[in-house]
Amino acid sequence: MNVLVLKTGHRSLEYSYFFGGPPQAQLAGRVDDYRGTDQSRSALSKMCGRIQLVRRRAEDGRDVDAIGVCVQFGGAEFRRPTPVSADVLEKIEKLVPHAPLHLPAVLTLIRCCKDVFPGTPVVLAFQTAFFAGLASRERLYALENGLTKSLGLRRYGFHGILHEAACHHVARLRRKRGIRAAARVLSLCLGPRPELAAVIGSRPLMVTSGATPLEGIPGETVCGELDPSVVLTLREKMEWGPEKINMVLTQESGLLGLVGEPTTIQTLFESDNPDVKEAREIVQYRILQACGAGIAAMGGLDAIVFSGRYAAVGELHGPWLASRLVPRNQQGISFERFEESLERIVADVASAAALAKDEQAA
Amino acid sequence: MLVRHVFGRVGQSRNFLGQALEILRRALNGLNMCAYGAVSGAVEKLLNKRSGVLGMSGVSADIRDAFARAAKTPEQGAEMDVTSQVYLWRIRKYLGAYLAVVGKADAVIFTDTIGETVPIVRWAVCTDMEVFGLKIDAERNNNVTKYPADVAADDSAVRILVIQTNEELAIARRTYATLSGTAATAPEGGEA
Repeated sequence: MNVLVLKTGHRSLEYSYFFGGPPQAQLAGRVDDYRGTDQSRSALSKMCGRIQLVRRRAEDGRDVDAIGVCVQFGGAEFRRPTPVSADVLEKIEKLVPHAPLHLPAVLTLIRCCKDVFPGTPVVLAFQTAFFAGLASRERLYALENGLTKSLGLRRYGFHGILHEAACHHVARLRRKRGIRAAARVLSLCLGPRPELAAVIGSRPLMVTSGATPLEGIPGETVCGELDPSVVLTLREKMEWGPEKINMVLTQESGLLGLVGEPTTIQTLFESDNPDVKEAREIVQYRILQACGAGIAAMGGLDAIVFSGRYAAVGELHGPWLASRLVPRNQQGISFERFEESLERIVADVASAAALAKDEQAA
Repeated sequence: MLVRHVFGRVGQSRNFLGQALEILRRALNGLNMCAYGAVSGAVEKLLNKRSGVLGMSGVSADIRDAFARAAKTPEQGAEMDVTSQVYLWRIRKYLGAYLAVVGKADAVIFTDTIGETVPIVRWAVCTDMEVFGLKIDAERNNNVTKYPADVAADDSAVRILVIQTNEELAIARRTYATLSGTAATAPEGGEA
């Protein structure tokens, strides 16, 4: 099955085209300035053109059998990958107030998919779905009940698709080794916005991201966990409005803020630059703390799995974490690397959901 | 080695960790504390005065009221109300986070009103923490009559201590030491 995967970001739309089942995309790219109907349609038309060029040599079959869209928000309502229907679009419309920057762009994109790729099923995969069932003790903030309910303030977790796949991977490996008991896993997703989850079997107990991806471990441009009063100070002393503060905390903080120049997670772990070294100590310290919290949440540890764009960095990181986390007994703790990309997972999920829908219709 | 202050407002009570010295004298090299800052403004009022235990429960700012509404014994922790669960869960996560940072800890100290007088807090936070070397003894934990007390099991690698705060006495001692020119008592900060 040939699948186009779309991922909407703050500023750009990323796409990957999978021709059949290989792990690598045959075509991948990024379109800046995709927001708005005209922009989205033009972006999709360009993708369509590129796909046709790549596919010219192929004999038969459709260029795109399914489109998978990675959606950041809405997992509480859509726990499984969901083929788009009028009913689904209507439900997402209702969620817009909770993710006003993200969901409108997604809705526009989905509608444009119908124009540019008529008749192609569109399947939505939700990043927050994996964490939808978090226990209230982990989900809730200690704020007034009415306030959290009316604003939909809760801990969501934002890399659920990768965490879920990585933990399945760990379970598979353990079964091969003859271990059936559910593993207590620390799942560290090392992308531009790192996120740690503590998962027993396939049930998440803890995740570092919060109501937005701002909370948790600092990222390449995202500040990570802050004392809430820092925001108040920025408001008062700098006289910044909410938009400016949001921009600074999401686009200009994290490694960029600490180092003073754009720095990837990879550079963070590999550079000898003293400014980077200090940032590395900060991020390692935060990761260590989050791991400790996760182990306390699970009451123990069986495996650590690294996933995401910088999963390979995890291999460098593994021994360091092990010696710090379980100084008394490192026996029986395995380190795994989950190499599959988010895009490949979404492509598989979209294929499966599209097939299931076909079978239902038949 | 670090000793972690798990409960209570952080202020003068840190000096009272000096009591831990009497128990851990041979091993103890330093103390390390976390501190809270103060903020101002309208949102600050919401976050400072109407949130936390009060905001969640909507009834009382005292977590003991939330505990009282729930189970009577620590072993029934699962049946606690949401406020109590969030409270205990947060403390447990912080304990794990700091134990990971400390590495091989020697002791965990519970202090101030809640830490000293509410066994269920110590139980919920320290149970199933053997991965960090903590093993709490249910009976000792439920029967603390004298302070300082050690509620860890005999084979626990980490001591679990319950120590009373006496901030006034700590201030008096510090004042005396400062005015009489004798050296400061408890070492602070250092990491070994």
